[in-house]
Amino acid sequence: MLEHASGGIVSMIAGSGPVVVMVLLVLILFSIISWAIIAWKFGFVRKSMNESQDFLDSFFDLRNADKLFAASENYRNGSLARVFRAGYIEYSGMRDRATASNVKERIMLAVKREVNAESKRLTHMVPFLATVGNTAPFIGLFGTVWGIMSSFQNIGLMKSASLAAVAPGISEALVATATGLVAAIPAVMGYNYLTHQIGQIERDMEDFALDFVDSYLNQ
Amino acid sequence: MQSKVELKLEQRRFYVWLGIAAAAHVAVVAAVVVLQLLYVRMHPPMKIVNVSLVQMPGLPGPAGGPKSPETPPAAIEKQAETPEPASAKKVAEPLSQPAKKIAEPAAVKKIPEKAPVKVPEPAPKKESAVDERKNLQAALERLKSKSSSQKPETGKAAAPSNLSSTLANLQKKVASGGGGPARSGSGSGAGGGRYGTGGGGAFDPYKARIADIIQNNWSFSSQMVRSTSGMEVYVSLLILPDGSVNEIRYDRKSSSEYLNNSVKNALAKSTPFPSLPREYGAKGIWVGFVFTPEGVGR
Repeated sequence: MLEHASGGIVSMIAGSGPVVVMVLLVLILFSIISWAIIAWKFGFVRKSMNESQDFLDSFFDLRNADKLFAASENYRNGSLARVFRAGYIEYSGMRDRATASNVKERIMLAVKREVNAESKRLTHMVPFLATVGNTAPFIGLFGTVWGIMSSFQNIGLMKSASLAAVAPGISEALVATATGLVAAIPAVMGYNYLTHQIGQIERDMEDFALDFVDSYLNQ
Repeated sequence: MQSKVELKLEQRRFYVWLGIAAAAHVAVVAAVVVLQLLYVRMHPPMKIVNVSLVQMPGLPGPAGGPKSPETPPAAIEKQAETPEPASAKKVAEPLSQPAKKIAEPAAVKKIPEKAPVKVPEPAPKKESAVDERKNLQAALERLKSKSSSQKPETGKAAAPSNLSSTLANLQKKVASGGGGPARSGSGSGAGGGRYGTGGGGAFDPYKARIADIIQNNWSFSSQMVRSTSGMEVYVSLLILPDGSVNEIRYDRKSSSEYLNNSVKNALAKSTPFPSLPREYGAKGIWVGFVFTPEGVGR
């Protein structure tokens, strides 16, 4: 017990039972994946927003669809550029065919499909952050409860209820809750940030889709 | 729509980030381990305070632990016969001045290293007046021999006067024979002031009894204490003739709130005390105790 008191977290973990260790491993894995998703999506969303902004500037500068399509090659990660490209490809196909009666609907459909695909691409793996944020504290709590159960059993075996007998077991068990919180807090923060940013991109895409279809069909 | 190449590229990026995150976690865990080891190395674990209350004559045993059976009177008698340790340097304070206020801090400090108080409690009731007289005379002889041996060392002005007054008291007691309540004992020397019996002191069975009661109610666990410094609580009690405590004064509190509370609890459990013997008068007496993790002193 004295060793645990002086050795810190490492010796506390070493003194924990297999269930608590398992819980800790799961939480660490969750934390690793969460951080990877946060970093990956952060770069992804930023790039998408920046390139969309640049593409929008080009969109207002160049009113010619063909030139814009050529320019959109430089913004392959921008969500708006991708929506534009999908609409333009559909429009080009319709333009070549003389019998295009419901052009607007078909372009609208193609643009919507791309907006959905882009939303899916942006939100891919983001819900995992919400899962970690919601479940990690409970998983940690499970480890703690299990650890406390074990420590109470040990207390029963020791036939002593002194603080010296109770405290080390409880402090070992609490490491699981602490790890759960360490995993959950960044996940929740990352999830909130990313959903906000992705929501903004989605709104931009919706607005752009309408503008794009109207302006190009009127040309 | 995403092409397969784009999908693969994104997946690869994700795996790269996964690797970076794993490496970062390993680095953080390693940093925590290293910091912990450094911290442990820089701040070695605190010393553990082992509480072993000094066993007083006739007391059941150390507080907090299992109570030992009462010392048989014969054993106590033997204890009383043993010569006094050399550390008992203090000079007796007359019994007639119990209400005298606080002694010099230096004198008070010496209390924890007290020599065993050599007075049997259960014995007095059985002893006759003749035995008592013999004991008192023996104590007187010891005091005389001790004072003659200590005189060149101490040389303080107050010491001879205290000694002489104690001697006078003892002589009075011998002269008065078994008139008073049957009490025996051979305490010698005295601590300064209220906190009394450092090196032994004129034995007061009533105070010893109170100390016994308090010690029986003393409960203290060393596990709760981190620091060993400042672990002394000086308490003065004004005990009224009926044994009730009129006033509790903390002359000095410990830095450990746990020790302070232990003292408070022990006193709360111990009161009221047995009624005061008649010779203490109607006003009651002040009794001082020093509580330390090592023992409770009077």
